[in-house]
Amino acid sequence: MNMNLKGSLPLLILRILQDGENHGYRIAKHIKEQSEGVLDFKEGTLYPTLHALESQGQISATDHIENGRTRRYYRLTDMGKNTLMAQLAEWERFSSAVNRVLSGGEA
Amino acid sequence: MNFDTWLNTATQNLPIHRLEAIRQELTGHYLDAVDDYLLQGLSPDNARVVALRELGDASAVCDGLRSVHIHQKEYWRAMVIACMPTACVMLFLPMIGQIRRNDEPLIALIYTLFIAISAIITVWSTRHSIRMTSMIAYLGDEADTPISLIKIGLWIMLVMTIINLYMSQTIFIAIINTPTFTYMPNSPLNNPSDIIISMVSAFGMMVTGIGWILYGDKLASTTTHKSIFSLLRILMLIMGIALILLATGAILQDYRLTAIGTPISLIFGILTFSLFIILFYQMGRNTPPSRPSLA
Repeated sequence: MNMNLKGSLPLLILRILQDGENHGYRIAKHIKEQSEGVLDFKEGTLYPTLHALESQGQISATDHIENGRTRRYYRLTDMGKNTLMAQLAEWERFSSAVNRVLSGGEA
Repeated sequence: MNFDTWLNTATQNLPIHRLEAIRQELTGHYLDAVDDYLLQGLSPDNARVVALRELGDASAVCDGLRSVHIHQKEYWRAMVIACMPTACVMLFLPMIGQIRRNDEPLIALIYTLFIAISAIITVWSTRHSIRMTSMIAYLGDEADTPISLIKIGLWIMLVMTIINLYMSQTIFIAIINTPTFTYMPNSPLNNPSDIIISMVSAFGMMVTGIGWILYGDKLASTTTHKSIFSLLRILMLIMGIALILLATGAILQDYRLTAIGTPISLIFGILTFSLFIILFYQMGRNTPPSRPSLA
């Protein structure tokens, strides 16, 4: 499903990184696995979002060489943690409102 | 499409200082994916095909990376860099005819250093301006040949200019021309080393001239910024022809041709760089100064 995924991708990345530092391929894999394949996206599109988050100071990155490959590990910054909390609260409020409408106002 | 082609497209014309790191990161991702698919039992060929497919459209990735890594300041910087060769020529013009290497050693040294530094600045500025223009025009591999010709020609001329400054005992009444910033004699040469330097420089100039003509054609074939690229094509065509004329004159030692080619290449070189400056200014004005929004 690609419905509005582009707009949600930063939030998903921040949430994945809340569990610890990780590199791009693993982040993409976590999103696909945890959504049981529902949130499918082309993995190359992850990198502009990761780099934008980094340039905004939401995440920081360090390069590691593993098995002869350069892997760039990303981690949440304090600013990123605050943004994640704010966006999660916003998401809860939004999804609750949608659920209430979909259930005919019973929720 | 194989991965190398995908990677070249996805990282095309990104800022040099980030390019290698981004390429390594994307390569690492691809290799990790291939390994995973191999573990899942796919054949090596299929694993590579699926890993590449999962990366998605390279052009879309490139657009996304550009929007993150190329900001207003990149265009402002390109604008300043594009001003440099013209500024060097303007500073140099009053010095023409005053180079006397064997007279005042200190003055000769200052002139020599100025010319060497100007030549390096001109090559650097040309490379940077072409890279930014190609990025704006969304030119890919198809522009590699003309860009390579321009670069090879410029490097030949740069090296020859510096060798000339170091070796030549001839008191040149030098002709300097933009965008090559190279000595071309305007009177017959007697010293064999001067003749060789002049011939090799002329060859480099001819290669560069052909490169400019072909590059102008590529720019005019793009669908963006049609008016400015069409005008650039005309300027590059005239500049390229003038450079070829100039080089031919040097090779044949026909200094009527160099006398015609020099002012034309000078004027149209300055006009070409002026149009680069206008293009970068326009792009800078239309690019937000801050980082892109995540929304």
